[in-house]
Amino acid sequence: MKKLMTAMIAGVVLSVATLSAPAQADTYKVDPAHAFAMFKVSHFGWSNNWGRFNDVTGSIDFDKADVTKSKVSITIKTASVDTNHDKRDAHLRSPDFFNAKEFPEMKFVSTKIDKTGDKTANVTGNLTLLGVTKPVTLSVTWNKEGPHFRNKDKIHTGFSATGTIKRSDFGMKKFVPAIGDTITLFLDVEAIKQ
Amino acid sequence: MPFTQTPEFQSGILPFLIALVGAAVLRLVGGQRGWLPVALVLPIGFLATYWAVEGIAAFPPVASKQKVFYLAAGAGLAGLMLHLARAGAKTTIAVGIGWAVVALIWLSERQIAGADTTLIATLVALAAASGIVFATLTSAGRAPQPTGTESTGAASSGMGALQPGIALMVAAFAAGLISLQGAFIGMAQLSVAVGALLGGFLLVAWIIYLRRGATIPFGPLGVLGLGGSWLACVYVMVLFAGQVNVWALALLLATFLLVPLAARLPSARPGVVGRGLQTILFGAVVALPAIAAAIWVLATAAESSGY
Repeated sequence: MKKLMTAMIAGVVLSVATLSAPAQADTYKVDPAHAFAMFKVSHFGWSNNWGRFNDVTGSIDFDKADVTKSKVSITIKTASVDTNHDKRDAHLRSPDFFNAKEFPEMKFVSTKIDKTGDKTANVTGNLTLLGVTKPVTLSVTWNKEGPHFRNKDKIHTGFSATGTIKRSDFGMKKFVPAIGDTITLFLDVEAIKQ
Repeated sequence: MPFTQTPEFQSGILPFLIALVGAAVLRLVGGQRGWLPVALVLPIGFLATYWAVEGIAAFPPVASKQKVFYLAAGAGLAGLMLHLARAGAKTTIAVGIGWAVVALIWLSERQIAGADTTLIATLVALAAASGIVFATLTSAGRAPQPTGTESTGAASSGMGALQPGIALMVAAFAAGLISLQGAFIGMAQLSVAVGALLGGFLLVAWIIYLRRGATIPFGPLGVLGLGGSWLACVYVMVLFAGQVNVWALALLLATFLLVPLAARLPSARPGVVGRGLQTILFGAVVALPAIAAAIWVLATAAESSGY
């Protein structure tokens, strides 16, 4: 009887402990083939020049129970800048702009997430560009999660995000304001659950 | 875009006027004995031009082109101290090489940790080339004499003081063009600005030479203060601008190597015309490698497009 009581109490304690344990965040790895980091910038006020980065990697620790506990880390190779113009791209890689040889990567690491809606949040993090780290906030929408139609074991999740930065804040001052100081960012990222 | 924000003004007119007016004022104030070093206008002019082209450099500097400002300031300060100490040629060259080594290590500190052999070889080559540039600029004519005793002719005798300036000027203009073709406008502007500074300075120096047969010394302020500033720009072009034709830049070394040869050209006949012709002849000879480098990059450049 005494042993049975001990076992029952242990079982109850274990169950309570399990129920109270915080939900673990799921880790997702960014799918480079479906990661799009794009930007637009004013060109003398005549139009917006658009560009993208072709090498985007990263990881997302996504806690669906409490999204504020999630973490995002995105790395972009600066030499992958692409504005559909070879000479302009060469100039963008030069020390006048992204200085790709000296700073081969730019990185965004989240520090705070504020939920703004059912599937939306403001993700604040540190953007390190040209060796300078500044806080940046992105408006993020969680689009959808589900298994891939060909491989049910592969769970995909997708996000869209926008934000703005001032490039001069990071020391990229060339031709400001003729080439706009404000850069508008657009990210669409799919990540695969690990 | 306001005219004062155009590259033509920032890299051409502004530095030219700073050097022309500054040199003339310092020469007049300092008098014939030159107690004020006229060449002081060169490193100051470079720093002012840097501010116009790149804005105020971040402190502490993060990127290499921000470090150029502080390297130039350091070179200018070293030049001034050497001038005040009345340092001789060997000391000036040794300090120059020491500055170059420190500059190269600082500029490449992020990459140097990887101990890439290509990078190490590049740094060694740049340091060696800098030694040649400093040695040539210092030795052209005669060793720098800080007090500018041009009236005695013993120090900055004759055309000697013009020779280093002319060599550096043609090299700077050519390097600016090479950098521009290599899609690196910032250092192109600063390199052209070095040429423009020297244009203004040498105009004053040349007028004095034509009239008196002796002129303003280049001295450590010119050698280190402006020569070092220009070399800092070249280091950044070579190390971080992947599209710049580094072999065309290497060809510019011949400009400096030609200085002793060009200096041996027959001495000018007495008089303004003779001195004028000799200056032009010297300039034409040392400009040959710079012209060749310019033709090379223009001939191999992709079709330009205004984007």
